[in-house]
Amino acid sequence: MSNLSQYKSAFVDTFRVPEGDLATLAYQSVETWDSLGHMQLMTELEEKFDVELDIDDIVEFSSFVKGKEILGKYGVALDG
Amino acid sequence: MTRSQTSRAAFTVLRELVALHTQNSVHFRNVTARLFPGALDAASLEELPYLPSEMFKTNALKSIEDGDVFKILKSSGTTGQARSHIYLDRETARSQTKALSSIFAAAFGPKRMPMLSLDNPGQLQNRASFSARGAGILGFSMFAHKRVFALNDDMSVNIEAVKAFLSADAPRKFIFGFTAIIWQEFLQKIDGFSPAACVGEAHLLHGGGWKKLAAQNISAQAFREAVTAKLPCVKTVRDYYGMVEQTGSIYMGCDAGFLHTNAHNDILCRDPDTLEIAPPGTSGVMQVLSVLPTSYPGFSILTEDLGTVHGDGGCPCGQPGKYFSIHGRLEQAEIRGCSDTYEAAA
Repeated sequence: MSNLSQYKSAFVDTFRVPEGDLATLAYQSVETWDSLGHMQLMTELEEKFDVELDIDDIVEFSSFVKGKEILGKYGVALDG
Repeated sequence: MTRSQTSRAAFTVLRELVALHTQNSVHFRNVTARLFPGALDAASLEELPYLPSEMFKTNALKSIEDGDVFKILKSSGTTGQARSHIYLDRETARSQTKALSSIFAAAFGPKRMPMLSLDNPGQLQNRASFSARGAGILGFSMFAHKRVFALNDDMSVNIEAVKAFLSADAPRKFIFGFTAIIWQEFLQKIDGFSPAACVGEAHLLHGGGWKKLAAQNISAQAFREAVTAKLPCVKTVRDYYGMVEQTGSIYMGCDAGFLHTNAHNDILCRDPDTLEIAPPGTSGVMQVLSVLPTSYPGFSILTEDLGTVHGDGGCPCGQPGKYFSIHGRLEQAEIRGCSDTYEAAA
């Protein structure tokens, strides 16, 4: 599975949202993406991509789009 | 930035908050009109208006429309006690998380550590409505990873989980809990671990009120000693001071055992009888100031906590800024801290 499809499936599985909604998905935009859901997502992504996010990045990780940029800093390429 | 610079920056924001809440909160407007007629022109921190913490229990204090309320935080309180209700919109909730993360990272570094929560997982069961205790655990969990709970739902110690945490291969570890619960439900129940049972060094953060331990004559020093005697891997023990009315902008304790202000907050100490500013080094009632609250008028609150501001700069730990201690609560005040409201099951 490509990095991007793994990234997408982390959101779909954690928040139970259809893949079509991901582009505009943001922290607190759906009920399941609350602070508890946020931590589940972080754990999921850290395991999938074998990275450890810093505190700043956990806080800045505010949307599906922003998250790609953040994971990019850790060498996880998510384009295409 | 020196302390006086950060203090001025905070003052500028705080003064803007006076104008914001005067405009948007009828309660705030009424109180300041009566008690602080010059509020909008306050020239110093000391002249800023403040609300008594009691008001958050008896009134729905909001500076936003009902439809913009995103979350309501409730203070801890035992049955029969009035609880504060704090109304958050998304913006205030977000700035709380940001502030807490920067205060946490300044104390413990930017890297997340594995976390041992000295509490039970039941605190997080109902995600729609956390207790203040649950909110505290969750708030700090954001800055850690691989969180495990040291206690079972019946408050017995999950000794296997604790052992696994201590022996896990990580150079730095984070332990969090509420003071009275740590003392009563953890330290009193475990035998000490040997240094050989522990890998790496651990940093313990605790908060939520001292009153319960103070009543048993257990000092901060005794608490610290008990922690390191039972958990030899613990290298630092810090406490923090904060309240649900100002979630996020907590005052972090230092290694020397004092609480500190930071860029997100400030503190004043007032004579309980005259409400004049108490001179440094003398005891009084604490006024807490936070730059964060925009959705509710809680940026300047006169608490029921007694404390002492020791100075502005000059703490033995070397950090700049005001440093202070909390001694207890005004006598007529209700007991109310995550830690102090905890009652062991009969």
